[in-house]
Amino acid sequence: MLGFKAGLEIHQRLATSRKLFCRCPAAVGEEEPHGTLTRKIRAVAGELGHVDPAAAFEAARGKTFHYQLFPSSSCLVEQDEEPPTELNSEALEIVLQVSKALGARVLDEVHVMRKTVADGSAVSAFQRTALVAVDGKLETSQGFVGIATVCLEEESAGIVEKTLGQSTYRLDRLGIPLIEIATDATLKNGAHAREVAEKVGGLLRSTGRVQRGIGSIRQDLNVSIAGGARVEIKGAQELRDVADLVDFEAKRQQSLVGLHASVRRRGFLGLAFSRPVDVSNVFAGAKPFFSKPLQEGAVALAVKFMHLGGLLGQELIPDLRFGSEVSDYAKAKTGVKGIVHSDEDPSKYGLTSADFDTISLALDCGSNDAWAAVVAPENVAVPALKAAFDRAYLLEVPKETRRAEGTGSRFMRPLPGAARMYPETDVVPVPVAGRMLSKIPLPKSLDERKADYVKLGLNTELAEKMVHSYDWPLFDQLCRQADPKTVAWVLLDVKPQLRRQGVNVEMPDSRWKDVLALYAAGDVTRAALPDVVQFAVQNPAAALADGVREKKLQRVTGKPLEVLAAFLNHDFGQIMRLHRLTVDASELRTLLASKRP
Amino acid sequence: MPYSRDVEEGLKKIKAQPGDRVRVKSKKQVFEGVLLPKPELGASASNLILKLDNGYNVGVSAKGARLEKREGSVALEKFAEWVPDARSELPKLSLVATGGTISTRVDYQTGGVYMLGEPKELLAKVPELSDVANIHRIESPFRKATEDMDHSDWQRLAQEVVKELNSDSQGVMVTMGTDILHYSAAALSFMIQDQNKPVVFTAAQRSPDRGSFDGAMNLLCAAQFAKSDCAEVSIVMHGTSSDDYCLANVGTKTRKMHTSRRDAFRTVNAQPWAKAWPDKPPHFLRRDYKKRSDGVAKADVRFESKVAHVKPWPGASGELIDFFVKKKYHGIVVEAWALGHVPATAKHSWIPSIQNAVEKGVTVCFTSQSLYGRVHPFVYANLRKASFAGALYLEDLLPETAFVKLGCVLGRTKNPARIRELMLANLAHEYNDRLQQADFLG
Repeated sequence: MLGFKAGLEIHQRLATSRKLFCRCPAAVGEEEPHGTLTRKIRAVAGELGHVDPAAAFEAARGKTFHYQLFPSSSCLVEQDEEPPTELNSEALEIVLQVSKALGARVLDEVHVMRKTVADGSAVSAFQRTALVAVDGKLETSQGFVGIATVCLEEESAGIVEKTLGQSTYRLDRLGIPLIEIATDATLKNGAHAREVAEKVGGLLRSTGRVQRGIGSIRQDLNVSIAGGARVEIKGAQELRDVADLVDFEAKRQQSLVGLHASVRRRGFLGLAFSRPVDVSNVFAGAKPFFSKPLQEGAVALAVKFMHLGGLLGQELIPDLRFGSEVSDYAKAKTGVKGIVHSDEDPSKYGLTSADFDTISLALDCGSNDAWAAVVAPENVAVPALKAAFDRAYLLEVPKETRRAEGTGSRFMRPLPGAARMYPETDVVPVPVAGRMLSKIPLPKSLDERKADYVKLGLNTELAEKMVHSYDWPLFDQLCRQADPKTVAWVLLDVKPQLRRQGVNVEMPDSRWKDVLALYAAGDVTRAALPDVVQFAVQNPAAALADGVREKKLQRVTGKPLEVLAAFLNHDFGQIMRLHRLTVDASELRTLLASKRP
Repeated sequence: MPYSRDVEEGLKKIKAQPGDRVRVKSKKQVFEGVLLPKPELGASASNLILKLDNGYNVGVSAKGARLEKREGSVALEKFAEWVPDARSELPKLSLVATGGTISTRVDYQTGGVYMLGEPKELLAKVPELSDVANIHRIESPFRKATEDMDHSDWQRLAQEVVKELNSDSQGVMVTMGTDILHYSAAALSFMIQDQNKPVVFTAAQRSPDRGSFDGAMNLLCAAQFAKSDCAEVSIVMHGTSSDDYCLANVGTKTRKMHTSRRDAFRTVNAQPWAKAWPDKPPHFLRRDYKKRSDGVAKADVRFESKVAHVKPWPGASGELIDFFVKKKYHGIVVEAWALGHVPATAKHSWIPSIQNAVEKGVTVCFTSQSLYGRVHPFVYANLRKASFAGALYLEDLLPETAFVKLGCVLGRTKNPARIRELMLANLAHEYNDRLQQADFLG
């Protein structure tokens, strides 16, 4: 595609013991919130005196933000009630290690910045971020890809709920250290983007100091084409979606460029937004979704979209029509649930084509024209239609931040400019002296680690799987508790199997250790481990010994096994069929062999 | 702190100033960005601070590097100016701005927060104020951090505020830093006589450069309260950690009870005047305030600066008192333990020193480190000793308020009987005769 440019930003949570700027543990817990704060956020000028357009846009929405507080993982620092502590040096070390592995040039002095964030995901209204290294490179199947920047930043607060004018966030996640790796814009296509994401992910895991689990890594994508604009797609969590997201975004921009050309061909010369027409009488007969608000004082307003007939219904990429793009602007700016337009199926809303004709007539629409309508209180409906109108007639691909949704994306807000950053004055700059840097070891290469695992007794296939697993640092730890083969089996087979059954198999490392210790002490058999893991995950507060008793998983060994064997006539098959989970096959075999005359 | 000499010379050679676009080229790297002034703290003197095009600031070693000035300088420190909306139908208020976090902005010289913002810049950040009141006059008699203030600043402030009280304004807002805000409010409570309109102190715990600036709601609530009929001195600050409402605290009974929280200012041993809202009139929690009147306010700014505020520690000796007596101090506020204890029977007893001070004509007053509750001269034998030695027990008065009040009283009279009478009189709601359950940790 002409002028195709794409880059990738990878965000990965670091597995440090503390958060980046306070002493809370860097872990998203299972706790229930024990309180809530309510705050407003305002638009502010940046260092060079500009108000950032993204910040101004969010502030104009006049939103209220609620923040859930957690007893062990949020303190006054996250609540913007206490200045930050010094930068977490453990986190900086990990970023330096990754920077070195990427061959990036580490800066002489790291300055922490405040990046304006007006969507409420940071209580202070800024995210703390620092540029640590620049100009690295990564080898790929299609040549080297440049690594433009490596940053260390704070994780945002997790969204819980978003409604009209209100958002609720949880503060346990806010402030966990995050590494951000940004490539340059030379990615060739979607498949290449996926390869880079995989490679960087592998490198990050190879440090053994990154968090695992849902949401701990995510990709943001930057895509543009000739005649299009830079668009950032945020929050791709699934690696398999990366390729499609990139390719579909390029296609979306291409479709928009084509659509704009056809509007111009229809003789469009510019239009002013005129006062909408009241069509409440038409929507009074629609589904309750519309008719109910009308009874409660809302109005249905419509405006004519001259020259856009048939275009609002045009599909830009699968499952995304131009009308949805236009509607998303109205939604984002005013909080309306959406707009109705003339290219839609009236029956979707409990209306008829005659109803749609009535609206067209009221607006004096010709065959080349379209219209859009909205049901909302009048002071919301007019700006909503204005936002939709302005977007529809922009006739250029807007610079946007979009949210990944499956393999497509939806509009979030305008793309922020550089004015969104100014110095974090509460944290002094950190010099990264040459000596400090040279002491930081490079992470072991995949081959080196694979050789280590083979030495431990894993076969090459298992060793290969383990080096690519997020769980390898856990594996290294658990090998101190039990034999490596069993540990590898638990992490590479049992865990995914349980996950397929819908069990969320994430638990603290210490809990894994307890499970394996139980096995190593001979209290349970190897075969019982899947059940023990499941119990440990689903009952995080319960003592494992209680679970083993409750589930009747205690290993039958020694004298009791002899009694049991005698009771079942020393029939190996029979015994194992009935007591598979509690009898160790090899022990039984030895026992039976000794009983044989 | 400037850049190192080498760096300064290099910059001079290419005639580069902060704001200019500069390229730094060394053997291993090239960086280009807008040159920023060197922050005072933390950054190395041989590192140039550049703002890169991606918005990040970085420190780049200039040692042995080639510097080059490039096209594309930018003007630093450009801030929006406040243009007051002519909303003549709204009540007129005066704003007296004195500095503090509420009027700060990012400062590149120190890498810290700059205290001396133009008051107009501050109002530009809270445009909604123009819907609440017509801030028709902004005065700024001085601008400094509160930690640098002393009694002479209170004197100027009182005179300025009284001038505004006697103008066509319906109330006066005072913005200030937070460190000694409660001392200042107490000082004005005693210095302003025949107060006719509200005097509302407000401030910020978060600076206006951030979107979570708490001063915006504080200013709006303060403006709402300044329109009310409460002709008292109050401190309007966040009531909770949320942006929901402010409390209008009593000028003489407020203390900063937290170093950094938004809701740090609490009324101690009493109830605040009211809950103040950003978008509606205040909800009063008590009714014993002086009502707005047509009278003329006056300022009595006399103040005796030779007043000390001392606090015993376990093992501290009465020499502390002797020191101030020797230094010719006229008054000493002792922030004693609990009901009013100081060492009284030990070798290091304070009693002889207090007795000596009183005999020399020094007024010695007792308040409590407990802050909450009342001091009492008679509960224990040791308390009686201090009382019999001539110390004044100031009931539930906050130590800081006692200090300010003693300065004001000693400024007006040196007559011991009159001093005693004034110190024990309830001049500006500084005493609460009836402490109740709700007056503790509110």
